[in-house]
Amino acid sequence: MQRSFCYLRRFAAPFPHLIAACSLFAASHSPACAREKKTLVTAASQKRGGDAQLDASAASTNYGSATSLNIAAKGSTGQAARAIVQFDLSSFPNIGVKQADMGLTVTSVGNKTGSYEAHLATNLWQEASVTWTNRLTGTAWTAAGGDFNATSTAAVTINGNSATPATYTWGITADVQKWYGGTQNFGHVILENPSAGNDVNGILFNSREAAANTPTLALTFLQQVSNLKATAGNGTVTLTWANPTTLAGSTSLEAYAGVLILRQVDKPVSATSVPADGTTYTACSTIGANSDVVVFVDSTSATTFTDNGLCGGLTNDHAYSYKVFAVDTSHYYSTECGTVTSGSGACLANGSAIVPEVVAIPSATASAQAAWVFNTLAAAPSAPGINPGASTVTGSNTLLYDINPQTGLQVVPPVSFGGAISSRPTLIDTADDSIAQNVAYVPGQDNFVYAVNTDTGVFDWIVNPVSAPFVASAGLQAKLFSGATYTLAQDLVVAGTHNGATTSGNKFVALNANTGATVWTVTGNIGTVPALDIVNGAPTIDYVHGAIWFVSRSNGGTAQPSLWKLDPNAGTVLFSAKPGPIDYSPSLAPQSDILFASVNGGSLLAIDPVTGTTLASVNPGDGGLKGSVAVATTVLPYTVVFSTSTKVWAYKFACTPIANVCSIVTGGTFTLLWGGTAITTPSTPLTFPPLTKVYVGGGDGKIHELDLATGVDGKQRLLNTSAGVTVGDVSIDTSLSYVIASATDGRVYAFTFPF
Amino acid sequence: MSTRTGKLDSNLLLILVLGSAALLAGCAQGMDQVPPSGAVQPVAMSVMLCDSGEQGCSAATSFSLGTFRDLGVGVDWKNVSGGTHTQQIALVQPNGVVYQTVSHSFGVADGKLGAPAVNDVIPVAGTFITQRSQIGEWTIDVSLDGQSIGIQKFQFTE
Repeated sequence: MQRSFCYLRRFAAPFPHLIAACSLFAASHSPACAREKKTLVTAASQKRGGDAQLDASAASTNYGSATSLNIAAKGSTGQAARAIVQFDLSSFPNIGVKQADMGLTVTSVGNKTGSYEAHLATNLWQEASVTWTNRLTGTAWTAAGGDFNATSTAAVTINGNSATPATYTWGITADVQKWYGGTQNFGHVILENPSAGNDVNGILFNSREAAANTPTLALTFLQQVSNLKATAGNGTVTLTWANPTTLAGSTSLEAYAGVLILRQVDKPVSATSVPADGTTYTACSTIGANSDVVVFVDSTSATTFTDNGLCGGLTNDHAYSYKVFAVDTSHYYSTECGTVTSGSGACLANGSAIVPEVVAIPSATASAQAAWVFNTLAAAPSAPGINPGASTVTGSNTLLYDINPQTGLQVVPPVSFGGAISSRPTLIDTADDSIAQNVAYVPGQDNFVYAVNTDTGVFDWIVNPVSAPFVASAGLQAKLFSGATYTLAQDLVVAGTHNGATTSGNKFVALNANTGATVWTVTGNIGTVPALDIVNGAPTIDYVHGAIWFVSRSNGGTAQPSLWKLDPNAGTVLFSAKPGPIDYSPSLAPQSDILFASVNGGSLLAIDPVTGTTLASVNPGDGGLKGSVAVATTVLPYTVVFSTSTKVWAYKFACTPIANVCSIVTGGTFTLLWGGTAITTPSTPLTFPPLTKVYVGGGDGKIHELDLATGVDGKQRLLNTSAGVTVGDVSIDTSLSYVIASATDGRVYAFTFPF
Repeated sequence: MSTRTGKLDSNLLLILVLGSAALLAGCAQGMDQVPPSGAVQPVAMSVMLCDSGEQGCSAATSFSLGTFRDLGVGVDWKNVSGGTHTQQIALVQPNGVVYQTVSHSFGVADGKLGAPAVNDVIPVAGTFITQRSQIGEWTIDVSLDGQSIGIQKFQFTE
């Protein structure tokens, strides 16, 4: 037993009497140690971390590069100084945290005893710009001096005559566990409790820029299993996985013993189903409110398990969800739990959230399984953005998740945004963009646009271009693919605002993709620009005609524009049309000769992208269009697939009188190929040449695979058939042949295609 | 944090003048309290929901997705102690899973009990909610400093 890692260690390392208490606790509550311990020593090179002093007497001064930080309730100027500290957890992407202790080395103490408290920070900030007044450049804290929880997570009393330097420890276990359970990580604000101190000098401690004794975070944890795969058969499911090995630099406290596997049918194992540390479970017992079944308990480092009917058996053609917990020899599990009411998952709502899980559908004739399942912890994560074979990135509430599509595990811990993410992140890879990185561009509801390096999770830039929220995805014009008419020196990120307070004054902004600097802004009802309502659909880049297309609402009617064409160099409005409100991104045909646009609950339009002339329209009924159009063929006549309220349709669009020669005089025609194929609240369908199938997310918890030629809903994949679970817009990883979709159970599912 | 302005001001004033009981029948207002502890005044709050795109942003408990724009959420607090606080609104789906959260920090003068009002707007028009017709009974769960204080249920309809 190693007392230094036990729970009460967090209170105050320098005080021997507390160490003694800790030992007693440890002795009476076996086991008291987890599997690995590693101390993260901060350095300025850790880009997702940071620290700074917030000084009321120098409210606009940034101390991000200072080597020493001051904390005082009432400093020499009579005003407060606080510190803010965030750790870069990039090297710990998939762990179950058992204990977390923040260590600060104090180099100077004042002349009174003070209580120094760590409060969970609650708003986004950056080291290079944070001040007492501002959290980001030009953006103030809600409350000057930092936004943080009123209740402190931990407090340490530091005596005014203590020797220095000395390292003091704040226990922040619960906060770090929350960061792995779906809560934003903005670090901690550290302050002196004014009622307990009012030390004129306060304390000084080393920042991460100091030459030595920088802030530390000592983590005690279990890693998760990796490479979890399922193979379904007739009445059987076989799971395989790799057990963790100790991280480089970790102290190994106990051996990994094996795994515990929970199972559920037709819905996922609950994120609140948490095996209690120190408890030994037996097969066929249940855990949690949803009675998830323990189907395998192993202490022999097994790497495979076949479920062939244990604990109630498997019924073919149902979706079985499995969650695999790593466990050590003292029965610690890879959960975000220090203490748990046995069987209840009472420690933390999402205590088993990032434990690997997978879905398999046994069948006598058509067994199937997910390639992987990833739990993002909030409902309706955005449709995933795909960098084929490299990244699957999805926004879930205020977190951006970067999943390795090869493994289904997150590449780095989730990136904390300042506001919610509503739509599919826009990804581009190193070879194709002007910033020479793998990047996700993501507009947020908090008015900011974010550029995130998807290899590291580091923000390349964060800007607030027009002080209005964004709902739609960004568009990205890559210079590499642009013709000579594109005169800008780098890629362009474009996005429209969703400012519901105005039906006419919304904005469409273009940003330098390398820096975030605003290149141009179009504002509705300003100058010659017509009224611009809210923008809900992603822009479409027309490389052939050198234009950016986007859509908007139109104040409820057809009196103001909803279809827009802009010049990418200056934002000049080249064309606008008034077909009625449009929320769905327009689709450009592969030859860029036809633009398809879906009017909300209305018609599908075929538009000449040069003149903006509508060549043809069609509305099959069933509530009209409910999504963007997928273009399934490479040349005219085009096969287009789209959804209405309850059905999916395919039409052929041809120009008249010659199918592949379009004229704005003679227009074109839509001809029904098949439909409507009934699917509960279908998503925007996805297909593209040369696929012969169409993939659609359903409101029935399934991904449907339709035959492109006939529309027959031939095969499905069951994700979660619990009532109320809707599958969002699907994405395709062409490198791995995965169909990937998010669902309102908070998860992202990947299945090999064709089904 | 935004302060109550424009048409919402009149709602707040009405609530404060007439008291919550008189209003419960006519608007989307719930009142929940943290159990009192000793002589400490319990924290309390009321929630008002409205279509922020509607003239006057009138309080309601049922909204048609066909015409709805964005969800206005107004929270009126009472007896909030001095210091910095963080309010979080969680928009919870009919299946009980959180759809989105919005957090705001605010300050109350030390030594006093504050009654701040916090307004938020959650985009709905054009989001997943309208595109996929996520109708049913939704919930607004309001927490203060990590502690759930109360909920307000409402309906999204076709």
